[in-house]
Amino acid sequence: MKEKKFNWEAYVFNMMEGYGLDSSPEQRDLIVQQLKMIEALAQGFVDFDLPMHIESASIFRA
Amino acid sequence: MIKDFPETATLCSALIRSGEVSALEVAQCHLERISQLNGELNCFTTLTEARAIAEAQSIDQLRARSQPLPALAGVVYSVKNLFDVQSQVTLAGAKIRLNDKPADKDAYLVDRLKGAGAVLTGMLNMDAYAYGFTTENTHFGVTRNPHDLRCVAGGSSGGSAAAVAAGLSHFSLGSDTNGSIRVPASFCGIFGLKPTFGRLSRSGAFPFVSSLDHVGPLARNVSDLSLIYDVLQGHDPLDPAYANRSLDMTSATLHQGSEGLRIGVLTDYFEKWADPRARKAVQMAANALGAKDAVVLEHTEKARAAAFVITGSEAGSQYLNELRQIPEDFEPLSRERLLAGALIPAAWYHKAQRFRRWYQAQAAEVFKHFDVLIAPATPCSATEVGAPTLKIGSIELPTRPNVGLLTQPISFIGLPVTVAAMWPDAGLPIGVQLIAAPWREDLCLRAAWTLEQSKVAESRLKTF
Repeated sequence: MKEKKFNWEAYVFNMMEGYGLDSSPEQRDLIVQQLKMIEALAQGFVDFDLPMHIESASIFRA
Repeated sequence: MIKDFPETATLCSALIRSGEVSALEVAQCHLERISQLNGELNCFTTLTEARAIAEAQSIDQLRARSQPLPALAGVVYSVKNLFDVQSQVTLAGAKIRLNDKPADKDAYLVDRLKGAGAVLTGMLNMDAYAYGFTTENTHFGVTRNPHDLRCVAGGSSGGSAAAVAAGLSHFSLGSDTNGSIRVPASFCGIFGLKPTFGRLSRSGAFPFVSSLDHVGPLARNVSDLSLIYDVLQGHDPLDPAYANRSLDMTSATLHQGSEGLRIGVLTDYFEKWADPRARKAVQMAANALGAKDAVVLEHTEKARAAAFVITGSEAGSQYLNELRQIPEDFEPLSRERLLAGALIPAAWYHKAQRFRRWYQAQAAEVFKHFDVLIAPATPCSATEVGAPTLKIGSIELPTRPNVGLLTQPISFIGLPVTVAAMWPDAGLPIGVQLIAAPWREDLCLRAAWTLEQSKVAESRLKTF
């Protein structure tokens, strides 16, 4: 399968515009850096094969 | 000086009962110590002096009338400034809350403590929004570590830990989403308890990440911690995460210690991200508890990452409206992190929550064979104020997001943890986590009690 990379610069610019958030290029760059760092971390579980029936734990009972 | 007064909650309460000291004297002594030391430490953001005096006097009146005194009669405490205190503004460490209206009633846990006769002296500094591990707050200042003023107290409940370590309170309340009780307890050399997710009510505590937020106590010894935790338990349907279980008291079984407990040592991830002093602290605890088995909890790196995503996403969502309206009033150290969090793809958040359920089941398998697991609480001891990075072996990591990398995977699945204060050498303290299966706070407290009784773990009151 062809690897598709996030275009974080475009994503952040459009999302910030969409939300009506004022931002400077420097601030958008900081946010892009944050998201790239989160993406690098998240790949571990985002790509992890979970059994299909595993439900979300958002209503969490230990 | 505080050293002339009972240092522990249990002793304080006993001396007040016997009439050797009055609750008012104890409260005034603490208030005086706060006025002497808070300028340097910056633990308190709000003092509740009048309330403290009134609460202490009511205890003394009860005694004067020979009426029974409640469990924590005259014991002095303070709370992280995200718990509602009647007539005070709840700041949650944030400038954007300064103009909020004062709380019309106490948070559930504060109400429990009031009912138990404890005396509230004030509200404590924290990282803005509880988003951080160092209590370096641009708007309310840095809380400094009583054991080395050049260093941070840890966070986000930094004021809560420093106040207890410096003898400004017998105990305090904090919150822990990713490590915010355990990290500052480790850095300040005291004991902390993060109970099972859903065990203690969060009603009246300002939320940060609702699906990960816990609340709990910090204290200078294990008996106090256990007693306070027992008082805090109660039924409260107002917190939707509260699990309506039986109350499981821990004080009566504390003296059983680690007798009969199957104790293992978490390795792999928890070893990789610990510096030599953190590893030594774990080894000392393992030796004292007779723990010989190494335990690997697989996929912990992923668990930490998933906790990171859930945190960013829920925190960003929580503050999105205010970020749109008053971005300039936000903590500059967190603003872009919150904005980035608000933009995390929903698919990742959902996968993180599903992974959480799966990882919880993996941990449950481990607890079929063990009662308590030992791990370092922090990768290293307290870092210097403003330190941009911390070093683990040859690896350098940004400080602010990484101090909690050993606590995050555990709170992610809601397990109860006691942090025990260790002193591996003549330097700063560092904590170990004693982790139990869900709802078994009694077991991790018993293990901590054994460490304390064997003098392997202790808090050292900073007398100045």
